[in-house]
Amino acid sequence: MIDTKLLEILACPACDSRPPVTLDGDTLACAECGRRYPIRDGIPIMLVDEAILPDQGGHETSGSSGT
Amino acid sequence: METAEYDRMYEQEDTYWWFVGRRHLILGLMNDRFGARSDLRVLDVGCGTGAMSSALRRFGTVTSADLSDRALGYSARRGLTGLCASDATRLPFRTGAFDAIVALDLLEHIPDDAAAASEFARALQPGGQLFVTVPAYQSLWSGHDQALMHQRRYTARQVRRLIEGSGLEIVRLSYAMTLLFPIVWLVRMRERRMAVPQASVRPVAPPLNRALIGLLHAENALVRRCSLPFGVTVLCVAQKPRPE
Repeated sequence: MIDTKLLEILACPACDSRPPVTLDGDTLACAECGRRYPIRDGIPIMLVDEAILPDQGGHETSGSSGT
Repeated sequence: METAEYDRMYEQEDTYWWFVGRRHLILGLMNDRFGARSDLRVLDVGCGTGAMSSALRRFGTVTSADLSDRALGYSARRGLTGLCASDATRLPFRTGAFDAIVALDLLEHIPDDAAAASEFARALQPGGQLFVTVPAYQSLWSGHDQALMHQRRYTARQVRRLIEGSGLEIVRLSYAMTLLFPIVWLVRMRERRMAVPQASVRPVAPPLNRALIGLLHAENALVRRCSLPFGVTVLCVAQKPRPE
């Protein structure tokens, strides 16, 4: 569903070192900070504000449940 | 940008003289620098509704990034696959991931344009090239800029400072859309009196549209060879230095 060439170059925008992200179910996960980025209609949403935080399972800004 | 502007852009991006002329200029400059290469990794940042990304596919693998869901939805309709929602000031790409980055009329939308320029520099590989256009001259500011949610317009000198500040080397710096400057100036002055700000991407009669495209193609041939002293757009090509 997600373009493989795109997946190779994607990185976590929240981490200054821009580490790679890996496909984790229907999200892209950063091993460094634990954030998960949603994929909507096959398009990765690589926005820090829309990331799901590891401990909360919610969005960074709204704090509401995103899972 | 407002939703209606994306709808208008999608309808007009393939044929409207402004978009056609701008695309022709950038593809020509890329051709000058990359020739017939088709193995490049290209980022179209601020891809809008995707016509430029479609044209860039001749150079290799294209990644199309935009902050707007709506813009990305339109780009998907064109059959583009490397789509990604992203913030230009925090690009979600590995360092050195691209051979070329194209940012057409994007920086003027971004409050912290220096952060975006630094991200372009980071995401380019050494020797990689950046192609930028921005609207020229604050004195041309009008409802058009307001409707498109611009933060500012630029002089060539400001673009030089911005791009060099990011660590890139300027390869080409010129004004463009020069022959149309008098017409645009008149239209913008008139727009200042309009009650409702609106982007001046309005339909023109097909013969006029064709004539304007012909004019821009002629001008683009000139811009590819020398720098023009004024115009409605500032064009910059820059390169990431190779290590000594």
